[in-house]
Amino acid sequence: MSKTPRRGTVELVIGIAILIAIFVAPLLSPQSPLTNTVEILHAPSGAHILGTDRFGRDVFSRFLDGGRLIATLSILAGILAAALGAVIGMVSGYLRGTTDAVLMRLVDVMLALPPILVILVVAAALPKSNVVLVVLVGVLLTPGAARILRGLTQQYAAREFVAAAEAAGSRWYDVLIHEIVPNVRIRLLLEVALRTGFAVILISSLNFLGLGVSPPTPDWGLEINEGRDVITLAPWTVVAPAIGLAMLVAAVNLVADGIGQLVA
Amino acid sequence: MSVALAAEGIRLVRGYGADGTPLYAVDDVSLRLEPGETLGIAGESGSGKTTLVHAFLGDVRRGLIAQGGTIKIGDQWLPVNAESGFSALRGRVVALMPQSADSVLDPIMTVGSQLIEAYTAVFGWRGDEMMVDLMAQLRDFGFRDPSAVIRRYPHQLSGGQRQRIALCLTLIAKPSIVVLDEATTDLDVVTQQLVVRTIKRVQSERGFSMVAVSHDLRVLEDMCDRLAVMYGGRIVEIGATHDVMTQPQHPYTRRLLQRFHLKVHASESPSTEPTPSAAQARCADRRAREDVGGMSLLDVKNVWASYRSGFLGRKRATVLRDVSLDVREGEILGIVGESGSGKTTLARILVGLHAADRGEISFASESLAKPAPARPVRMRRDLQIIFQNPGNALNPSLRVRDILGRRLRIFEGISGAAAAHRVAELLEWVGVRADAADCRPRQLSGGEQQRVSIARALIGSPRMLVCDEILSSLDVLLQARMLELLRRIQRERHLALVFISHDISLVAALADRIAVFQNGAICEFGRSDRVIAQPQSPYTRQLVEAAYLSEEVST
Repeated sequence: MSKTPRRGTVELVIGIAILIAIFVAPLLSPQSPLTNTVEILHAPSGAHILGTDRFGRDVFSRFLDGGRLIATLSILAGILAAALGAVIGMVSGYLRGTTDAVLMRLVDVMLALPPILVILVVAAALPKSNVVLVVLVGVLLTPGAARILRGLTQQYAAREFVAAAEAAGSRWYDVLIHEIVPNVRIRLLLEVALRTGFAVILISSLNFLGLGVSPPTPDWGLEINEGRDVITLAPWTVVAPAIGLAMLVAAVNLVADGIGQLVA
Repeated sequence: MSVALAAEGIRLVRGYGADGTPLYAVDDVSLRLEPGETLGIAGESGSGKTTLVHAFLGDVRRGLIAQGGTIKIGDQWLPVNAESGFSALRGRVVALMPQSADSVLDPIMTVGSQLIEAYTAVFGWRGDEMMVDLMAQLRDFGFRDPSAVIRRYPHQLSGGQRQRIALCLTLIAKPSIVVLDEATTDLDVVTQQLVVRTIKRVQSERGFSMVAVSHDLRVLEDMCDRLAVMYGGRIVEIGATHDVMTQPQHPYTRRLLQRFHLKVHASESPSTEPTPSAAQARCADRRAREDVGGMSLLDVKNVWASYRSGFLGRKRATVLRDVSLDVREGEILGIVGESGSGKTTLARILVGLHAADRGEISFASESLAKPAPARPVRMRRDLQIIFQNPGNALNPSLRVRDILGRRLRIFEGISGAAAAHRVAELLEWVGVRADAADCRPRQLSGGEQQRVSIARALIGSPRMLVCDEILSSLDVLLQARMLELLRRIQRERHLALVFISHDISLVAALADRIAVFQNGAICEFGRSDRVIAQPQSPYTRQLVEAAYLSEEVST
């Protein structure tokens, strides 16, 4: 009578472990990631395991510290995207008709806009802040989630338990909250994970372009940009944050994959 | 001697009891299927019959663990969980036709493109030769004008046509073994006979062997050479169909047949089952009610209804034409008709899920013109509906406690401990174990699900219940028990019932009066005994004959 774990558990555990590591890592940091020393662009050694960057900061400390902010912002953006998408998608999928047509055309328009360009324009008009960044990325990632939730909602809306609720007099918001949401809960969680993955890529590109967080905040995207000029002299300044980003994206995708398999 | 298919010692575990003993969904089943033979497997829901035949295709259903068993197909022995071994055989050598054609057919592809897709998957693209073959195959399945059929989408075909297309699709590679899993259960009797005849004819032409699973003994009797009866995961009896039907050995088979023939030997009748005295009581009941007469509770006058489709709703399909009927207080009105005759639309109109185009409907002399959310709570409470498919009518993600609790909050305004108490009371009333309150619908059997569905509709003490095909997905034994439950509730509460079904024998067993629907109009309306004994319209006569003929022959 052996019990094998459910499919997807392994992915979920590894993914969450990496995410926790990203949040805990700054505590292990040997030095302050912001301390400038005179040791500029030193190669990895005993004192600086991953060497120093061009401002003489410890690359290892900055590596450990550079994931927390982007992970936080991405997860928030992911949650926002999934939440907005869920509301739009469910309302659209359940009410159908004109509401559906209007909301879905809106979603189409958003899908047609190139995200980086939109952020360039909006970022120029608004003060640079993490809140603006999260909201902007969250809104830009909404359409995908909306499409998926709309499809799911249409499926469930056609089933008799929804008709039963309607016959008992439930209004549309009652039906959505009490009948549809319980069925799409896990799928919503999956959407959060998926959108977070996209958010990591989008936000780190913005940080790389200098449109996101400002220096000298330790951030992998920003660090790659700062190390870009000296990549031939001091490749460690780029390699470390690049590995960090890859790990973060991998972790988020492992979580999404794990949830996806648990749902299936 | 060669066999088409043999199963040896199939054991599938569905879980473990409290003391660690395994609970079997299928418990050590072995059987053989000869070439060209048709084997029927009968049993009530939960007896493991579907699980067993899925194993013939190497499909161990979700949540089950294969503890042993091998399948021989042709001259190849495969363990039941040998996924890779079976995938080459599925569809080509052994094919499965599931209960619902809708799970076979893709709603957004034309019939033709689906056939071509399935054909090329097996034989590769063959151009004109392929089309000729496909047309011939469609003709085999009784389509006189195949070139018109292939341009249709599944929703443009009737239930029987869809079932035949699904069969054609399933059998496109001309497999040597065909498994039919309740393949005709969802159809009305007339269509059912047509489909069974088609299957038999194709079988005699192509010579495949067949395993047919059904809870409907009438269908199995017509189709099968041998009959196996399953109970609790085991085959309790197997033999030539005629022998099993006339000289059943096992007590369970006898009980099943008893229900089937509706002929009762009082001495053998188990006490939990409805007894002849119940039927007599009902007759007495009915006579009593006729004396009282009864006030008219529901009045439907000249109702027309349609569905709109196409761009801006320009296409319109009329589904109800000038329908008038009435239901008296405490009366059971039966509505019979084949799929697409407008029965369900009428049910939806009554509870405010669809609007009538013309006509008047009143309930306790109040108009029912408004949609459900706009009706006063009292009206929604007084007139409730139970849907066909209990698995579909209960929210799969909620526990029974919450499903009932939500309705208790809306209709009786109670929650918390009071609601928990009411839930227990309701479950007991409809005969479901108390711990079901903590279950999700899929953890309940089909019968339990339907009982929960009934319990939900009883919240708020309705005066009238609309039952839309609520027994058609259940097997004979369960149907009998559910009829008994409905009658009991109806008596205790003096409820009016609108009982909709495609099965006229079922309706006749329950209803005081019957309305027969054909193409959206009422073609006959009168007292049950009169409609059954002296049907006036040719269509009713056809229904009655189809329903009662086989029983008369066998008695």
